[in-house]
Amino acid sequence: MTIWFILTSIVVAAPYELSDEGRTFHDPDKAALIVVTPGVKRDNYSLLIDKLEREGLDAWSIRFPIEAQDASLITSIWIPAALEEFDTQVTVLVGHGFGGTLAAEAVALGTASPNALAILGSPLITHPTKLSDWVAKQPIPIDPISPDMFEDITWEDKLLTALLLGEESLTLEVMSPQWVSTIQSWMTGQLNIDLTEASCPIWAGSSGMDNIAPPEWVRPKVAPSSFIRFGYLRMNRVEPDHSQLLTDSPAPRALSKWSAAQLEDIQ
Amino acid sequence: MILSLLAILACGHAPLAPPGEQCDNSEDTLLATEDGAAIHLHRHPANGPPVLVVHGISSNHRCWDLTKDRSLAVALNQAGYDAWLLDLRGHGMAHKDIDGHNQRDGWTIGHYARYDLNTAIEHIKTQTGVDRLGYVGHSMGGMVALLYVEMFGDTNFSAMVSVAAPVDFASPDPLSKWAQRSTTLTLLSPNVPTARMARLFSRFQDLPLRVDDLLWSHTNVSPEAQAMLMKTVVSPISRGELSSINDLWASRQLVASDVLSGLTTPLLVLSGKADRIAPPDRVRPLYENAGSEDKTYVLAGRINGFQHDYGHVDLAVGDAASGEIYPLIVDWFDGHWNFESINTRHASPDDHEPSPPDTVPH
Repeated sequence: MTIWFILTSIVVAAPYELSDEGRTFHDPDKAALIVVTPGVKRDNYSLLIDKLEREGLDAWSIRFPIEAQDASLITSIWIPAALEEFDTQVTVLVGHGFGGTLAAEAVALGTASPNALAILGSPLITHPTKLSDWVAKQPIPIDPISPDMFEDITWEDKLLTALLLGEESLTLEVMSPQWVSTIQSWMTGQLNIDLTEASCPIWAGSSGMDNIAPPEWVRPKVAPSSFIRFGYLRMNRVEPDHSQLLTDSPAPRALSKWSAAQLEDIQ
Repeated sequence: MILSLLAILACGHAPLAPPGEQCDNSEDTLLATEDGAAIHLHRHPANGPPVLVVHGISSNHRCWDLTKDRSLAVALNQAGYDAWLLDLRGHGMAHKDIDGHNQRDGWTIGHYARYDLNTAIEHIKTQTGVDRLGYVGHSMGGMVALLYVEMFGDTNFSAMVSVAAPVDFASPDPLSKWAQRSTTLTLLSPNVPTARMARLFSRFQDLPLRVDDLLWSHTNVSPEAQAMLMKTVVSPISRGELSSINDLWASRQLVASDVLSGLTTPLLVLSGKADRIAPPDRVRPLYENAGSEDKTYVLAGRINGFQHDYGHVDLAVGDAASGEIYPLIVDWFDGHWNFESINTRHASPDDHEPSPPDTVPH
C-alpha cells in the first residue's frame, strides 16, 4: 500500500468534523466528501480513502460526533454546509451503509447538490424481516450507547453484529440514542428515498449477502444504469457482506474509478 | 480443447434417471401436446385437490422429488394433495416424444406455456374433475406460469406458489452478459449438454468456474445430495430455450406489467437470500406488482429465522427444505382450499380409470 498520511484539519469545529483525509499533491479541483456513518469508526474508510486518492480525488470526510447524530439535521443542514466548503471544486458525495443513506437523502431532498453521488451498501428502501422486527422492539437506553453493548447481543443463536455487518465487522464507536432510534425505524420499513430521477449522476453498489442493504433495498430506487451488484455475478472472488463492501478492494475501487470519471467529465 | 468440447456436444442426451421410488403407487404418463411434442407427468395420487409442480431450466421433475426426505411431492401427498410433477418437453422423462424420437430443440419457453402447461393442466382437470388446481413453479417453472397466465388467464389456478422465479430482467449483471455472449456456442449443437457435464463432474465437490457457488448454498446441500442432484436432476438446455431467456434481457421484463396486475390468484412468492440465479431483487417484483389481493412474500434467509441463506437449487431440494420450505408451500395451499368443496368427480387413487396407452405405470 502506498505510503500516505492522514492530514486532519478541523475546518468546522462543531457540530460536525470536516477533515481532509488525503495527500496534499492532488488536484484540488476534484474532491470526494465521504459521509462517515455515525457510530462507525473513521478507520474503516482507509481503503476507500486510498482508492479515491489513487484516482486523483482529494478525499475529505464529514463525521458526526455524538452530539451531531441527528439524521434530520445532517441531511438538511450539515451535509449541505460541508459541501459549501468545496464551492470552487467539483465534488462527489460518497457514503457507505447508513452514511450513504444520509447522503442520498440530502440529494433526494435537494438540500445538497454534489456533482455526483456514490453510495455503497446503503439502503434506500427497506422491508421488514423477522430480525428487523426484533430489533425494532429492543428498548433504547437514554444514555449514549457504547459499542461494547452490541458485542454479545444474539438473535436466534447468532451474533447480531455478525448477522448484520458480517463476520469481521466494522469497528464501531459510541452512538446517540436518537441515531439508534433512526436506524430502528429505517430497518422496519420507514425508509423510502427515490433517486430514480436524481439531479446528479448516481452510482449505487450493493451485494446480495449484505443484510443492511441487499439489492432489493437499493435497485428499485435508482435508475437501472446506476446499480452495481458485487459478488459472484460480477465475477468477484467474494460475495461481500456489509463490512466487506467497504474493506475489500473491488467495491471501493469501482466506486473510486466511477467517481473520478464522473468528475473528469464535468470538468 | 475445441475437439473435446465438440465431443461432449456431439454426445447429445445422457441416459436419464428414472422417476424416484418415493411413492408406492405413482403413475407416469407421457402426453402429446398440440404441436406434436411430448411432456411427462409423474403423479403421486391422493384424494385431495391436485397440485401441478413444475421444474426450472436445465432440470426435471426430480428436482421436486429427489428422495423420500427431499420431496415436495411426498410432503404434498402426506397433506392429502394429489401431486402432479411435470417434465417439460426435452427434460427428464420427456426427452423423447410419443414416437420415441429425441426432443432436443426447436422450441422456446413460450412453447412450454402455450402447449406443455396447457396440455398438463387440461389433462389434470380431465382426470380429476376439478376446475382449478394449485401450482408450484421453480425458477423457469414459475416464469412459464406467468407466460401461461398472459395467454390463457389465471382462472385454472386456485393458488400459486412461485419459487425463485425472476420477472425483472433490467440491469443485467456482468456474468449474465457473458453468458449471453457465450450462447453463440450453442450453434454447434441443438442443446447444451448440461446433463452429461453434470454427471461428469458429480464426483467432485467443487465445480469448474465455481458454478456450484451460483447454484446452491454449500451449507444447505450436503456432498451426497449434491452428487445425487447432479446425476439425477440435470437436463439439457435447448438452444431455443436459452435464446428466448437471453432475449428477456433486452425486453427487461418477463411479461408486461398489466399481466401481473391482472393476476388475481392467491400468490406465495418465495425467494432465496443467497440465490444468484434469481436474486431476490429480480423475484420480489412479482409479489409487488401482482394484482392478487391475497399474496405473501417470503425471503428464505437467516434474517428471517431460516437455518440458511438459501440458494437457487436448495429452495427446492436443500438439506433444510423439507423442514422449512415444503411446510410453507403446503400451508399456503391448506389456507386456500376448502377440502370439503372439492368436486365429487375427483378420482381417488383406487378408482381412477385404466391407464391410456401412453401411460407408464410405475
